[in-house]
Amino acid sequence: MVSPTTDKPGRTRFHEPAGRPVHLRLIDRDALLAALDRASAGKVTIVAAPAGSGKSSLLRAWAERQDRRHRLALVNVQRDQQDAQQFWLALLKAVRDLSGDPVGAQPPTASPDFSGAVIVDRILAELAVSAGRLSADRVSLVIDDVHELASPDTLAHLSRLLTNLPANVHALLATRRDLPLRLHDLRLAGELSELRSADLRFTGQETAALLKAARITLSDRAVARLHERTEGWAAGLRLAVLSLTGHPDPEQFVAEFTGSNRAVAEYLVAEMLGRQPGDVQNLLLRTSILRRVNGELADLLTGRPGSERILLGLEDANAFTVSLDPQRTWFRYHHLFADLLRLELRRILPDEVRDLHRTAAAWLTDHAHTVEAVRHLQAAGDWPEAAALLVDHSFGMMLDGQEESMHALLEAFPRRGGTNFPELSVVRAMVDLVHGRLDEAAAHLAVAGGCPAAAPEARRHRLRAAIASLNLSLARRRGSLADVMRHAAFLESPPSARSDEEITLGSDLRVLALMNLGIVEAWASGHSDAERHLREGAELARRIGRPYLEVACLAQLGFASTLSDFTYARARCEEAIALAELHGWGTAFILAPALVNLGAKLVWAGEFDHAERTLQRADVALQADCGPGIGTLLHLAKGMLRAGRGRQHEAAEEFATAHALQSQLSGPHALTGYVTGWLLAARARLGSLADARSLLETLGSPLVDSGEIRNGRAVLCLAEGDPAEALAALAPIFDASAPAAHTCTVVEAHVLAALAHDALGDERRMQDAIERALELAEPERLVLPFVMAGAGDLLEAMPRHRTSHAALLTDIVELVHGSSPATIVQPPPTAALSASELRVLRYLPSNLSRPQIADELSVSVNTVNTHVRSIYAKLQAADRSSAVRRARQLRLLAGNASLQAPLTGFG
Amino acid sequence: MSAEPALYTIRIDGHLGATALSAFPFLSAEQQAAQTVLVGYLDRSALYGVLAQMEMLGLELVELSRSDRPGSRTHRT
Repeated sequence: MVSPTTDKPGRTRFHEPAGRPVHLRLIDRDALLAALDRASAGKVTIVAAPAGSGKSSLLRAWAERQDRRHRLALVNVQRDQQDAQQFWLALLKAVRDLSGDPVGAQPPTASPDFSGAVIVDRILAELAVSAGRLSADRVSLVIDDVHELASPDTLAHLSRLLTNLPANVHALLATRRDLPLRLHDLRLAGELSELRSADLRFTGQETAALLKAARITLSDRAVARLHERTEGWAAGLRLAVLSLTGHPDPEQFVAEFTGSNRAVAEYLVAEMLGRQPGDVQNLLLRTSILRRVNGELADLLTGRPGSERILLGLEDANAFTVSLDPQRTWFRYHHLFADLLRLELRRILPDEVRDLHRTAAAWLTDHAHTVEAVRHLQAAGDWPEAAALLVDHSFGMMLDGQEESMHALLEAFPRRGGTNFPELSVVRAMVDLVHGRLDEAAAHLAVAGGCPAAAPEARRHRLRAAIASLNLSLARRRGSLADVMRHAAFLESPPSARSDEEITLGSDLRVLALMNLGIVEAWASGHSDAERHLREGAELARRIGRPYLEVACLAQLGFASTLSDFTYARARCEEAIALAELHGWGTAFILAPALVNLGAKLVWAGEFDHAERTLQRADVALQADCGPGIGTLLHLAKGMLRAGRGRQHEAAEEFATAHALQSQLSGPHALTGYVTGWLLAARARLGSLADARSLLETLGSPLVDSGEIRNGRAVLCLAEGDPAEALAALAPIFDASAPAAHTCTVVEAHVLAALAHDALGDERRMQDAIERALELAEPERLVLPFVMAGAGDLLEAMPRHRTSHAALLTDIVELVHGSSPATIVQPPPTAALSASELRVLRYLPSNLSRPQIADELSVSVNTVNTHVRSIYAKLQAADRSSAVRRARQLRLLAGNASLQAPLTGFG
Repeated sequence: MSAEPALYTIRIDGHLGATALSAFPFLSAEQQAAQTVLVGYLDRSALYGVLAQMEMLGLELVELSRSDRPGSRTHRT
């Protein structure tokens, strides 16, 4: 169900009774409505009857009769609904609107990566939530025109939805023909009811009632004959009513109708049409080529003003015209009616058909209904124009989740004949790329290569840019850096912007190119260019209103800027995640880089629980599709997390996986040192010294001289009991002769040096090293190196007055002790501690005596004693060490708010 | 079912006027009593297209039969 105003999923068809026109009501078919009521006690009701049997009217009448305690989610499937996504999003939205107060994130916006299975799960989850909230009420899903769902996949997903509906949810489906829905279980359990065409036929009595309600006077005999001739077919009767209303001689009409052998539909439509005033006839015929009509477009096609009034009048007269939105600006005709009108148009005005299609195409293009526009151009036989329009908008269609429609349009181009439409190869290449068919894409791009030269000047640049962008994507997927740079040349020239429209067209492909280029540059360690290109891509995406691409660029930017500026990188990751969640893409594949990166940042900052949750989301986003690049990152981040929690075995496994994955990459990348260095360190810490040594020996220059590897070697030396050798390994880091990928490396180096000095008994140097480490770590809160290196004891032993980074130090110590996942939940303190008590509390973990604490705080010893007694009481502690332990568990020691994670995430 | 075009005879209820007939340009039509008989060569895709069109126009299908082209192999279905 697509919004009439844009091609994006929009409102459902039915709207509030208050907004609907007060029009000539059909009769209430009480027996049928009662049958539906009975049927809705079961799980699924199917109404299967041919076109014009009155299904939609019946559904609408039934819906309007339900009281407020019976909530309805109504969806109308569009004709030839090729993009299943549009249907599912409309259904999800309708379900969310049920509770009147949608819970959780915004409804999803259409996107290229869509999964029917995922959305069915979401719908079921929403239903469970709604059903829970409105526990006394019943809920019905009402889906009209189910037969228009084209694909077997969609029907399979629908079957799953129907068989898994929660307890008080019922589904009512209307279809023109029987569908292969696998509902055997429901049928066996007696939960499935059907109403078929025989059930929907008007009875003689109902026919009489219908005519009476329409104030048509006929003899009983005429009524009976009318009923017999139409066989109770609803559409036939409605058409007859339209013709009979105001007819000078109703009996004559019935006599002629029943005396004729003409097929009912055709006869009656012709009759009804013939009785309309000229302008109405004109309108109906000329707009019959459209799927949806509005006043403006109809005026264009008829060449006269006033169409809107006519359309409203038709709906009010119940003449097979329905409005699609509450404002009643868009309408559509009943399919049967429209098909006959279209045939009639072709028959009596054959010369005008092409121009009508062209006029429609032009208007639709201007109003961004590209799929429709291309269809009309194809119907007009303007194949080159249709091809050009399709090529220019195909990427946009994919971004809007209209891939299947696009595919259908592609297939509709004639294959025989001289013209091959080489431009269409651009579209084919794009589809192939999205689906990972790289060789086919390359072949299509080769064919497309010759197009720009032959194209008119206006389009040449755009085509060239499109082809270059796709070639760039292909090169990136194949990992060919040289080719990527070659195709990136077109980005140097700014887009030939003649108009706003020009800027938009092809800009989405430009963003794609910038993104791909940025990705490649980031991985090849050329940070600054990567950031610049990704930033440009994100900004352009925002300007042209492509949130999907914006999320993709921001997510990649989060990674690319990682090593230059943690804070900036983290902000970009969070921005990408927020934007994605706004559109319901919270676990979409494109978000994965942002999730993995954010996870890693959180681990660096010691926010382990938050990191755990974020990395779990990354797992969901990546599913099985974990290429070596992102896979390496993910396992690196997980390894860091495990190491931070003290789980060395698991850490080593994760680092080993990352190490194996990164060997699949074509060259060293920005984080190679960390992967290898920490694997080395993890093995050493586990005591697998021989393994660690042999890994070290496999490394060559320049990697082996890097800061990260030197750190690893230092860990190994410390494990081997040779602190002096460790210091020697670390020395080049301190004089900057060994390259360090990031400050983290230097921080880690200082921490390891502190451990070495400690082992050598040099307390002074140890404290200096700790201080240096803290100083470097403070700006970006690089907590992890301390935790990983197991420097907790050293920090604890550090006198507070020897450091100007006491807060950070305390945080780290608290983390080292309190981050064990096996911590038992203790009862909360009897009362909250006051600010002064908290100040004293923070000195308790240190080895300062009470007089010394009093000195530090510039208070008397008595004051300190009072506070300490109070602290012990409130924390239910008997002595200093148990008080400290309790304080840690309750996270009272952290001076920094960020570590005060919500207690829900704790224990 | 053969994919080659075969001669199909389709019988529907009621007479079709010019408008409805224009939906079946590749079939010849003849009124027989109260029914219309449409005849023409259709391959499989065309056949289902015709049937879909009939469904859309609300026509009542009475009978559908097929005879093979003279000279082609007869298939048992």
